[in-house]
Amino acid sequence: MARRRRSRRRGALPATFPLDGEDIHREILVRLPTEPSSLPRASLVCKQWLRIVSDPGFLRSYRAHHEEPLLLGVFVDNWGYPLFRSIHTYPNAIPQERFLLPIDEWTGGGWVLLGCRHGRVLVFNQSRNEAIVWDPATGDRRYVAAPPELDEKDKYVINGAVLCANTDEDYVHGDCHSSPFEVVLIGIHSNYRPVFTSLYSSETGLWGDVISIEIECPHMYSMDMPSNLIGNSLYWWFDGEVEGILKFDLTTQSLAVIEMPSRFEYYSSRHSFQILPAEDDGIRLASLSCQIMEIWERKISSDGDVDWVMQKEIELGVILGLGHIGGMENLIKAYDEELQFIFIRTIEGVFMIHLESTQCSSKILVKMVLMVSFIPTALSVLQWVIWR
Amino acid sequence: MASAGSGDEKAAAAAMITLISSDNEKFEVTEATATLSQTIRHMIEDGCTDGGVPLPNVTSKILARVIEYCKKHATAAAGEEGSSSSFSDAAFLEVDRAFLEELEEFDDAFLEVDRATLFDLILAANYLDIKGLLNLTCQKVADSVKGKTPEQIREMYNIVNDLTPEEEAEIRRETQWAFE
Repeated sequence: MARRRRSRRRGALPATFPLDGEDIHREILVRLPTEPSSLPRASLVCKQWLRIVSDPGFLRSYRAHHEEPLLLGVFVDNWGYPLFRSIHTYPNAIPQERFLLPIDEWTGGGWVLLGCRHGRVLVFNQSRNEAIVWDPATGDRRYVAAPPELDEKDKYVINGAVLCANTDEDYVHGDCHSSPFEVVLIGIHSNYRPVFTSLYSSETGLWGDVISIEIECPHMYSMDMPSNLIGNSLYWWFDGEVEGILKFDLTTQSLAVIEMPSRFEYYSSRHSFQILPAEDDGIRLASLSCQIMEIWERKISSDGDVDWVMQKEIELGVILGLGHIGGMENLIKAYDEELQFIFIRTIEGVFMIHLESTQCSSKILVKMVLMVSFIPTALSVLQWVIWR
Repeated sequence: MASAGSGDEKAAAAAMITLISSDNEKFEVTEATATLSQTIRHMIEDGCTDGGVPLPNVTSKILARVIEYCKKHATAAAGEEGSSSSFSDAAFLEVDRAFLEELEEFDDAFLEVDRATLFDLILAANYLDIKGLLNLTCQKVADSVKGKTPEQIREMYNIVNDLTPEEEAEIRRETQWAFE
């Protein structure tokens, strides 16, 4: 048998796939690169391949095999409307029409794009005082009325965050479509203080208590950047009487204000900031001014003293091959928590830069990805391959 | 204690197993080499290897290549284990890196085969349950279709398009951006 088969292969017939056994096809297909076009193209080869790549079990193995999620693109804040922009080129550029929030949601105005995490986008409608949690991959939309205390009269919503509520130790975010989610809304009193927050759970369909900051809180004027999830806390950089960082601990459901490095407390709008993770769920702060990026780490000593220490200075202008990239505008446009890409606006376009995680080594990848033709006030990101 | 342990390991490594290909060729290999195959490992554990291990699905030509792969990888594994106690951490890392580089070079050269041989190696790796070899060979095929259109993939691998026009149209409609 084997001999006959072998001699036939030696003949004029071209090599064919070892077609017996779907297992082997799965072994091959699971190793296809994570480029967005890989699975659509494979599905169009033959019935067997279509069957394999459409199987949810296969998709789970595909994700597990590749481990690292793929950044598909960003959501650009177009007057509150999340507009998808791929960071890839043909054939991997998913068009923005693939991820459109139905426009009928868009009547009335007063929309704010608050962020994107674990495959969900959070938009807030100020006129209806309601959050929309939208899953662009499945099209699923959930409406969550803000807690009555944040009534948009003397207390109104200024920021928020969405996150997957699956906290199992071995759970890897990426395919969170069916997992429950949580929403956090940050409210502020019309006199710019104090700050309120509340946590919504999609499992119970209820908001937790509305809490306010316990200590004396500085005036907060704006909080334009999306949140950062580090450990089990959310962080927001804010602009106000002094510059600062607001922390919401999801475990204890408590709010706190973290002081900035003293040099940045009185902001002169020449710096742009991004909160970054550090080791052991600590935080770092990237500050960009002109072409210099500084990375600061918040160190907590054994006796509880807190100090910001400058770790590193990166000459971005030199690395990006640009002269002056400064200006009065906010230069850091977005940050991807999972892959740790930072998006920097320059006169040449938006660059995507990889800051090597917690060690903050000098390895930086640079790729020019977007032009500046959009209104880049808040960018968020969508990860993982979306297939069908 | 340590020397007795390593002595045992040496004795185990020196135990020989006979593998018999589909065309009845016999290959003598060490147990360390043979047990890279989970299939053979289980046979050894069950004590069914006396008189040789018949492998009716693997030809002598392919078995020779598979053994070449297993020998190299078994040696590398043994070398790594042996080196850990006799070097400082830095030196160990250096040795480790050298091993890995050498293995990578070996793997690259190993994959320089025609497509029919590559498929036979995949089938053998699957049947013998040799994870490293299956990964290596399947990855080679997956890499070869990277950036290719469905038509190019079918042509490369002589696959017949058995999708109905409706199925094809639906996929194209949903993911048109990947094909334009």
